[in-house]
Amino acid sequence: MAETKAKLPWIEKYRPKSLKDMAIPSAKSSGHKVNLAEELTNFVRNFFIEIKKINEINKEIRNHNRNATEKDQKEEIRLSFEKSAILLEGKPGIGKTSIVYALANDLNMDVIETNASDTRTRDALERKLNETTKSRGIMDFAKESRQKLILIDEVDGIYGTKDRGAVPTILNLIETTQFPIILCSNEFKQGLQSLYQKIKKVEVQPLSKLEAIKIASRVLKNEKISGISSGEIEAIVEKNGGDLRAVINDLQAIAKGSDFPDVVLLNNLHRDSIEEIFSLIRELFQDVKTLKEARNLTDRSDVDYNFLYKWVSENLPSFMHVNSDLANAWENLSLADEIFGRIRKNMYWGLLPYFYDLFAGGVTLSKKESDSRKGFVRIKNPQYFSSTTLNSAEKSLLEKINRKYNIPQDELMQDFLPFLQVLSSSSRKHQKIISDWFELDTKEKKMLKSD
Amino acid sequence: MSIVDRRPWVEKYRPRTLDDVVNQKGIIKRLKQFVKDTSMPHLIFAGPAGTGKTTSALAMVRDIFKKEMLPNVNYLELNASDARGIDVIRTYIKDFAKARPPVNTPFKILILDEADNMTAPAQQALRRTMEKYTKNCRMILICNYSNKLIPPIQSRCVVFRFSSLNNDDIKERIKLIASNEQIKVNPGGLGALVDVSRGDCRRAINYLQSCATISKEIDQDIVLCIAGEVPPDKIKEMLTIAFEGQLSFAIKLLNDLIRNYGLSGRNIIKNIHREVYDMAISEDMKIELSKILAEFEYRLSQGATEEIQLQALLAKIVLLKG
Ligand SMILES: Nc1ncnc2c1ncn2[C@@H]1O[C@H](COP(=O)(O)OP(=O)(O)OP(=O)(O)O)[C@@H](O)[C@H]1O
Ligand SMILES: [Mg+2]
Repeated sequence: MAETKAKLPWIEKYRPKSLKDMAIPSAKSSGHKVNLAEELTNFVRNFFIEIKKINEINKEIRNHNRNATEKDQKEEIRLSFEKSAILLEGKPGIGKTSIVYALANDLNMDVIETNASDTRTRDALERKLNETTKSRGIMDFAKESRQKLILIDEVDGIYGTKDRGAVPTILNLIETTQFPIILCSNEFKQGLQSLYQKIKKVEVQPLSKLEAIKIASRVLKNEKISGISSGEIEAIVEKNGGDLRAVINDLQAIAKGSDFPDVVLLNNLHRDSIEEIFSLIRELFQDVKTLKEARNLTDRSDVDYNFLYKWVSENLPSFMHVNSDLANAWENLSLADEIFGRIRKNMYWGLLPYFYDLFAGGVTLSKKESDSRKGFVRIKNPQYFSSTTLNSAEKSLLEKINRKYNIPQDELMQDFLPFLQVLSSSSRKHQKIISDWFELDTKEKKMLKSD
Repeated sequence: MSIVDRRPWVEKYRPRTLDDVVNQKGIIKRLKQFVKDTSMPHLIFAGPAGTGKTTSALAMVRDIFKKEMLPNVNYLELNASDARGIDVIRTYIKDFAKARPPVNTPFKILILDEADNMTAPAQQALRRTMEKYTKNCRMILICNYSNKLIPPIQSRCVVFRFSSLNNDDIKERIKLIASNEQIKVNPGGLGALVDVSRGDCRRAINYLQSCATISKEIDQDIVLCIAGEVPPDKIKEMLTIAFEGQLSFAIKLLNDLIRNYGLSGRNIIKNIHREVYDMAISEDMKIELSKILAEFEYRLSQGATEEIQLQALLAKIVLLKG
């Protein structure tokens, strides 16, 4: 059956095999512009030249040490951190992982990779990397194997408790490696400083519009798709701000079928960014004049209430400065918080609309005194994002319902549960059917009583 | 009574194939195209509750596998109640994605329901798995809020936004179910069902089923009674009187409302709250009103006596004006 043969999604189908196939993103290192392809090629070439020298010197040192007295012993030398490892830092979908593979391919090398999908404790990492990469492996002599390039991808996905010991292990690896190491990351992460401080960092920039359009057009040509106008390609590129992977994904989504390109759909395809929350918070604090506007804003937004309310609390002090205003705003936020506590404690979602009123309108409309401070306000990210946790009775009830019907948790609580409550309080018979069906115990049954 | 009869109608009438999905026309067309090409990128379905995200994902799986859905073999669906921490992603999920699909299967499909409830580290752990094993496994991530998915995950997917259903779609759905269940819904009842469900098809069907426990003939009154809603002008009238300081008259109107519409105290409060936004009072007053309503609705939810609470509420409102 030919039909069942899977076709790769375009983003993988068009993953560049060689530096020549790629749009080389512009890059900066310690404030200077660099050519990323050259930079990496030189890094790898130099590494092998230098490591060869060092190995020879160390060999002599070892020879010397064998015959020398204890106080004449010399220490072996090591290649510096900047020459052993390089970090590529940049936004998703701009070719960080790809460029490593393309480079290895061009230089006829193998890539040894670890990424955020792997457990990266000390043990696991050592097993994966050190074993294959230690010098003087018997295998290396045996079959004159290809040179290796180590890719430590998605270092920002290293996760404290589950990947304990990862950073020291990586540092140790960098010190002793016989192969060049490239690391990739989207952003700086607290907890990785000790690593970041030591290695050379290259900031990889999002791709330019022109480059992105060029690659996009090449993909379309290859797929023999001609109905997309250059204006539409540009719109897709524009929307994704230099994320080429997203561009290619979106093209595949709209590019085929009878009615293509579907402009309505095209306008609807977009990814969310933190920027949207920024502008929402700004609008809330700076433009909203009525309770209704505040409510519309929170309703319209794609942001979870639980999330939004923390943003409001984090940013309140940046937007309000007069004590009497602040007192009112905090009072209302605190009431909102209390209401939320009541909602959670009793699983009574009926109070949600008041919660909205108070944390949004209640806060922003407390601003009365004209504030002398004008100008741009920086939005701060909230520190804690704890999502709602349930108590044990709630959990077991939801689990039982979920066993029978697969309904998302939020919907279950806000929609389905009230419905079950109505049904089960409409008659004894219904109540019994329901509790039998879900096999509820008395505690859980009680939660289904609405009055 | 068979088990089937007890299923909530939202489940009983969940569309099985993409052809059965009535709304989200643009998106469904795309999904059908993917099925036709046996090729698809990873997908994110984002949007509010009851807009057909999970339904469409499952329908698509069914269409791709020609109705032979084999959980754990050719597809896997995990939701928030399943463990989906970083460990599970790095082991169980990775192994599922890694293993070749069965013969004659183009690729396996992993559905992650409520993906926005996954922690950031767990999402991180999905990144390379999504890329390295795309050949074997495609993913559909379902969420209410796509901004809770980390940017590299969004980049790896096409994000389809499901929007609330329009009224005609909901009407179609209700008519179909009603005729199947041998229930009569008159035009007034149909309109009211659409109004009270506010674009959420699941809610509309739930209301329909709730109404059907009362009567096989559904009209506006039954719907409003089940949904606990009152015509807005009645509420406005009562509030105006209260603001004019006529407490006992306002209480009389309140009692009329309760009697005529058979409303619970909490529903009365909800109806009042709905009117707050457009009332001709200052914004500060609206906020104060909202606080008062919140407090009294809470007291009622804790089992306080309706008559006492509602009269006290009106008395407070009377004072507010002064
Ligand atoms: N510079 C580029 N030239 C050509 N194709 C690119 C480029 N950047 C990205 N792509 C396309 O996007 C896909 C993903 O790119 P890649 O995996 O290299 O991104 P990344 O920078 O590693 O992103 P992430 O941070 O999300 O891991 C590639 O398979 C390719 O199709
Ligand atoms: Mg990558």
